[in-house]
Amino acid sequence: MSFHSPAAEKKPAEGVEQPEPATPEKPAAPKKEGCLSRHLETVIAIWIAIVTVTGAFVAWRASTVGSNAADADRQGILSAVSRERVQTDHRTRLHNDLRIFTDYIQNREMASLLEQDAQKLGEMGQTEQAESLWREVETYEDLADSAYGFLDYPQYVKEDNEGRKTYDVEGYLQASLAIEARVQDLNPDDDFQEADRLHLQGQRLVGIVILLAVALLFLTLAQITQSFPRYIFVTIGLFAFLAALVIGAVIEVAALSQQF
Amino acid sequence: MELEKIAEEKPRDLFQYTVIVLLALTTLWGATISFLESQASVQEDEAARAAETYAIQSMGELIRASQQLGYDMDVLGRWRQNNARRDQENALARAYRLQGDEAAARQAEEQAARWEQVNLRLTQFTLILSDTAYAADYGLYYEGASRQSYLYTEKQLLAFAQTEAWGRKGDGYVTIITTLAVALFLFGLSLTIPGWIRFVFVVVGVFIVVLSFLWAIFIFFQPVPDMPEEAMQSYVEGVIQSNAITWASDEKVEEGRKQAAIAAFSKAIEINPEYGRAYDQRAYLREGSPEAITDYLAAIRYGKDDVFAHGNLGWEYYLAGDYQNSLDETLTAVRMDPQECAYRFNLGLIYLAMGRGEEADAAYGHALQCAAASRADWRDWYLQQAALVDLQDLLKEQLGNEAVRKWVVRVKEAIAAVALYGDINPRETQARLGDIIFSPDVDENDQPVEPTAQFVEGTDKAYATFPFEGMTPDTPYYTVWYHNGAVDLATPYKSWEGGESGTWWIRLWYEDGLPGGDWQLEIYVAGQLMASGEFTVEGPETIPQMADYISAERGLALRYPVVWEKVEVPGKNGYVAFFKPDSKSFFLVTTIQLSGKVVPQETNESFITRKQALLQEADSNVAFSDMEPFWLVDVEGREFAYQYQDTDGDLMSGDFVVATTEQGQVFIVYVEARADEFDADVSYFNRMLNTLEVSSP
Repeated sequence: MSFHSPAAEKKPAEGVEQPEPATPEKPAAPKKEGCLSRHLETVIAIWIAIVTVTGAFVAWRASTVGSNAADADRQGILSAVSRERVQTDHRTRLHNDLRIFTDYIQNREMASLLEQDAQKLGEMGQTEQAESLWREVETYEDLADSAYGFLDYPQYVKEDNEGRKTYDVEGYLQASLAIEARVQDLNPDDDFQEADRLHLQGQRLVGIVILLAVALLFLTLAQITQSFPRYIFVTIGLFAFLAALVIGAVIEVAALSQQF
Repeated sequence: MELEKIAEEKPRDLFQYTVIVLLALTTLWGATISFLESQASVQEDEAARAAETYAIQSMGELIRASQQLGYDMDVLGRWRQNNARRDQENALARAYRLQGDEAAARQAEEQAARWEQVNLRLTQFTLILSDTAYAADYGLYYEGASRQSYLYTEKQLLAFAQTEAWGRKGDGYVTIITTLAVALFLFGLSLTIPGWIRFVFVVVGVFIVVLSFLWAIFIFFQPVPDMPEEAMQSYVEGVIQSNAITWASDEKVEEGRKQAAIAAFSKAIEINPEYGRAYDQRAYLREGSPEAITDYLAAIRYGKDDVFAHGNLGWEYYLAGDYQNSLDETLTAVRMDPQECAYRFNLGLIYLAMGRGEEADAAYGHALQCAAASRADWRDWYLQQAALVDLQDLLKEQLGNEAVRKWVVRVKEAIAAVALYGDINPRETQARLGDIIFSPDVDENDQPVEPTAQFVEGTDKAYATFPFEGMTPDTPYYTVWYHNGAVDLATPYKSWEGGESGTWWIRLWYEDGLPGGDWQLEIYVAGQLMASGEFTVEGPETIPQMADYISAERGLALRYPVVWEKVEVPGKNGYVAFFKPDSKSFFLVTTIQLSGKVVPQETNESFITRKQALLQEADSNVAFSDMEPFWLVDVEGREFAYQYQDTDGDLMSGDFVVATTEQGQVFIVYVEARADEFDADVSYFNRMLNTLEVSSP
């Protein structure tokens, strides 16, 4: 910046014709249409800003929903691991019991067969041989009783219509799984369904961004168009924006209603 | 109103309008790509989740199948134990009956029947016994129990492939979004600069957008692998049948399973003609056939593009004699995984087959280094299986190929060095060995007795005598006996006890006689092959596994087939009998001490008369041979053969031998079998008879 001393200001030399100072023209009164147009441009600019901010908000929601979906996925995997662990643990216990049960049945079966033969021999008067068999019956019955005492879950030993003892494998597995399911999440399918729902919600929200981009396109066209079509563009743009808002609201409300 | 002023001063032109529209359109396109990327990402996550879940389920199923199998094996074990008890009781019954004790025989039979009944109940406890499809064939059952686990594994692999495919799509869309950002930047930049250059920016931006459009279409239509479950089930069935081959009890079962596996893989391929793993598995089963080559090619084409597929394809080309293709594929495999030594050995083999000795030397050098750097069990497998077996096969085809012979010896020396030093490098030594002389015995001067290269059946020892020089006490050596080409006995000796020079012998001893066939001995000193020789033994190639039997009560000892049932009946008239399972063949031996004056010849004839009378009671049409002299445990006795029909209507053949000492000790041996089985069982009877010893003849 430079300073000019007033003394240094050159005076116009005498006799020199000085230009006539221009008379400032009165500014022409702005046309009414032009003023409207500028106002509309401002309004459209504001709408563009609103659409952009809405787009950012929707993107944030989609990201949040996506994150929740990933959490549900992880929870599902954890449930799957728990389920396999619990099932394997129960199978281990089951097979321990089944081994003992097999031992019990084998000894009981032998005792029963010996008993039948001992009775026959007794009826035939062969008492010495019968007594020998009765002693064996006692031995096998003791072995069977001893095995039965080692069963962890004797309540699953059932008797079928023919009076044969069986082990209710399905009953044991269902009951033990039901008990375990009370204290921990063993159903990954619920979590996976929730994850799928959230993934879908997220995808739909990302779809809304496309609609907002359409709104942005038409508002931009309206912004750069001077004549009548700009109103059509504004209308389409705003319609697209409103549609995006409505669809977004529907998606969120639907998600909330499913959640509760 | 600054903006208005600017607007007035710089009114927008058509260029600016166009660029603004392009910016908006590009933004819209970018949003669309973002949507597609989001969709691909979600699909990738879901596929990855499925892969993880299937992996967890597969592992769980595998553990549970293993638990179930453990229980099934337990029941099967009980069932077999009870069968053994039943057989024992039945054998006892037969023994009692031979003794004439019908009541005891009946009791034993009743007990056998009870065990049979108990086993009937046990069959309800496991599918191995109750389902006739398995017929106590637990190999197939074992594999079948893992079916669900295998299916989950297949689903996991599919889900993993889908994860990769969706991941690739997602990555592609992200790249497009990035390029669109460049386009947006160019469009924006074009608004800030004057002149023609701004048009260049716009054109480049438009070019990028158009390119991204084409690229997006390409990505969108990229296929994601899918597979009908039916195809996977067929594949799993093939895997089960294929794995069960190793459990097959005989070649017929093996072939049946192989064909069943091939059929299952073919069905999987029919349902999904792009099932790479099914082609690969089928190719493996078709080893050595032209179809194996086409299958491996298809496997590689449809995604099984790994070291094993290329390596195995190379091997198939080798077997087909197409050495150039074999070389190409094997080189590909070696490049893919230089640590997979088996294909390095194959490479050397192919070069040898092609007559390219120098390259073969280099390839075998690398292969041996590779094997040496491997885990000990893998190293041994590489040397024995991947190297030696194939080299020996090639040598059989190309007998005059000295390069092959050289590598056979080198690999054998590497094996010897491993046995002696723990590494593959033979050491330098001054030791030298001469020719090997084989003999059935050596004398007190360690010289061979009756040297021969042909031993008679029943020979239990083969001595190998050889001269040596330059040996030192710390020189280790290694001997390998081959029977019909396969290693029968390999023994490392860490030190030498035979002095610096002289003659030394080593021997091969089979208590029950050397198996018949071709034998070869190789002797390595310090890991170097120093001597080798060959001989043959007459007789059958396999010897039954025998066990010792000793009876202090009867003063008897003999060896008998370990699977035969042994029954001892104590007492004055007792005996010991050995029953062959699932047949009527038996070998019975007893000793009786007579009191008073005994004339051996008369006693022998008396026993024979009593035996013949018993046989005539059983079947009046019994046929006897003439009595012949027979030496039993160095005592002269008498022998006769007979044939009769037993109570079951079976035609039985037998041989009765009795020998009495002057001290009144009587030795009796008699053997019996169904007439149509007798000849086959004679070798068992002879082996038992040859090992019979008595403590006081």
